[in-house]
Amino acid sequence: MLTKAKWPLFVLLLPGSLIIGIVFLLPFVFLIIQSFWTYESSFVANTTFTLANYAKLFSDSYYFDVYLRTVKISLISTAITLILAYPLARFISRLGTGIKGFLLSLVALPMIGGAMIQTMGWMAMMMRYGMLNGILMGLGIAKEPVAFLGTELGIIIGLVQSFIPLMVLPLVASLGAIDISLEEAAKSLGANSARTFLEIVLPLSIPGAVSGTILTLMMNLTMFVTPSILGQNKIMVFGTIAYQQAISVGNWPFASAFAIFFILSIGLLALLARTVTKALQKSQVNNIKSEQRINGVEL
Amino acid sequence: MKKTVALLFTIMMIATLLLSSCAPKAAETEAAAEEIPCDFDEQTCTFLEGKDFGGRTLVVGVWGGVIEEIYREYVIPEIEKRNGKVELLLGGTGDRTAKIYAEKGNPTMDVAYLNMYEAAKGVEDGVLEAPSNAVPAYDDLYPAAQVGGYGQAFMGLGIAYNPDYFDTPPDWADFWDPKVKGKIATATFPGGDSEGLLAAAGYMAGSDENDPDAMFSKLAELTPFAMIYTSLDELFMMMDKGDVAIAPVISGYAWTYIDKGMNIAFSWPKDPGTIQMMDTLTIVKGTKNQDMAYAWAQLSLSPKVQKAFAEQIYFGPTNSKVELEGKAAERCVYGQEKVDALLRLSTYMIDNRDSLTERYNREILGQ
Repeated sequence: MLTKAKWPLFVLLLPGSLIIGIVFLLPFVFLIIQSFWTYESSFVANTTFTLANYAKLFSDSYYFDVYLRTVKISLISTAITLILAYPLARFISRLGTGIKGFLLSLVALPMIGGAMIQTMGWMAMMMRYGMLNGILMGLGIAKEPVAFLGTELGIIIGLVQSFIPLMVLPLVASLGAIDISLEEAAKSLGANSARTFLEIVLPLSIPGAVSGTILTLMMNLTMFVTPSILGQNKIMVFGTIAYQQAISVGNWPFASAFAIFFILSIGLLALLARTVTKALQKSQVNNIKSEQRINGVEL
Repeated sequence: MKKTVALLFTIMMIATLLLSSCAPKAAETEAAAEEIPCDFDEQTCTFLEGKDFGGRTLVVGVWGGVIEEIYREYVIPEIEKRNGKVELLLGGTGDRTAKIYAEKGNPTMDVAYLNMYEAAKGVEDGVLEAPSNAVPAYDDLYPAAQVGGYGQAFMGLGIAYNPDYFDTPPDWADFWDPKVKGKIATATFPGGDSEGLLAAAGYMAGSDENDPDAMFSKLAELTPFAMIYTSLDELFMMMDKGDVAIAPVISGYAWTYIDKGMNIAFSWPKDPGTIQMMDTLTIVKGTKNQDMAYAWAQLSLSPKVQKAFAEQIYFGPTNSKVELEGKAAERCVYGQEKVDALLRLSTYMIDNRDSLTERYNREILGQ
């Protein structure tokens, strides 16, 4: 029974829970059920129970290769995004409120147009005779046009640009929350800029980096628009295979099994990332504590 | 006394209601008096006469671009004049097919344009209506356009090429000419263009489109492709520059670029032939707007609309009453003779899309 005090909370939670239940959980349950159905022909399946879809998934190395490729491209893109976003976030986090807000809006601006518009823009730039090759050849960096479209490189460039805002925003929040007096104290005690950054700023910004990394990684893993347009459907990843199976081929049971497997494995990856990060943070805290103890003894 | 007054009042109310329901409504009288002008052919005008769609909305799944513009210019105003509304769902045939099957028995889309193989399968699977002369224009369609759904436009899968590579218009065999190795483009698979090239590979291997081993081993000889095109703009830009020498392209699509002065040309292959393609109008089974869907189909298949398609984007008319001349007649699949010359593939590709796509991913894309 709900106590009287909890009723308002329950009522407030109800609409959101209902929406999540209807638009997410129910279709998800249906996806699980459908993954055990039997494929007959394009868009036609019968409800006879079968494990064939999962058997195909695990017995055929092709799908495992697609999975590995998806994870590889996602990890590389996420790492590059983090490296590019960090200095930008650090710079923005130091600015005054007005200019900070303005710059954050600029960073988030491309997201308003959605992935499709950004990707189409990249497509025009990455064409064999597009702007990017024009610059590279004009500067003498490349003698012949570089193939960006239809390659993993093209996809990674597109993904990094698309998801930089997702990395910058939590990083700015995290870096902005670091008390400036901590850095000043470190410097007054003789630490140079590099040491201050490595021992004060970096450890304290880990929560923002973790949030940004998980958000970006999830978006990269489930990418669809970028690989299908910039990868020209030559580079098959989870999203493009799922779309191909569900929409072009019409094998819904297999597409469902593929999706279930992928969702579960992403969940596991996220869990792993969380555990590793927690362990990292814990060791950082322990390090600081032990250093404080040593310093205390020395003093 | 009170009872009598109440009784009289009730009788008067009933009489008023009865009279008002029998008498024509003001709006109806106006509509009847105000005849809607019709500048279509007689068959279409007669079919549309007196139609009033009562403010309902017809949902039509169709391609965007010039196709959408033609429907907005010629067909939608005719539905609107008759108190109907039209919502266009723009996209590719895959999205539409998936939607039709997912909504089987309770469709939200009334009319869908598909390719001829998807349409025929949809009728077979009971998600689309079989075509009939409930749409009067059906009787005027060429027999090849009466199969599956209502054929909307005849096209052929031919060859777009850069003329610097060929002295004479190439045929399918020229894809295997060593001078174009590495300069071949194809479209994404599955899809009409790429499936057509796969079928052509089967014929070049001495077999046909029902022999996957022959098709794949022969097509693999063409890999790696210079590009897998998703955009015609990009394909023709690369062809114009000579980075792509040859590609399977549906007739009609190349002409716009040729007219822009690009260094490209189009060939109608003869051995084993130009592969038949057909945009097909289908009516979704269980539609709640069947009358509107029939009206849409009649307008869409009418000579006036088909002529607009032929003259603007060189889509071959399926209605035998359409008469073309000049450039349109030359560039379209037009007339019985040209229609008969097209190579119609079996349903093997659509029946085996699942396994063929897997093999294509693996053996052709190497992915």
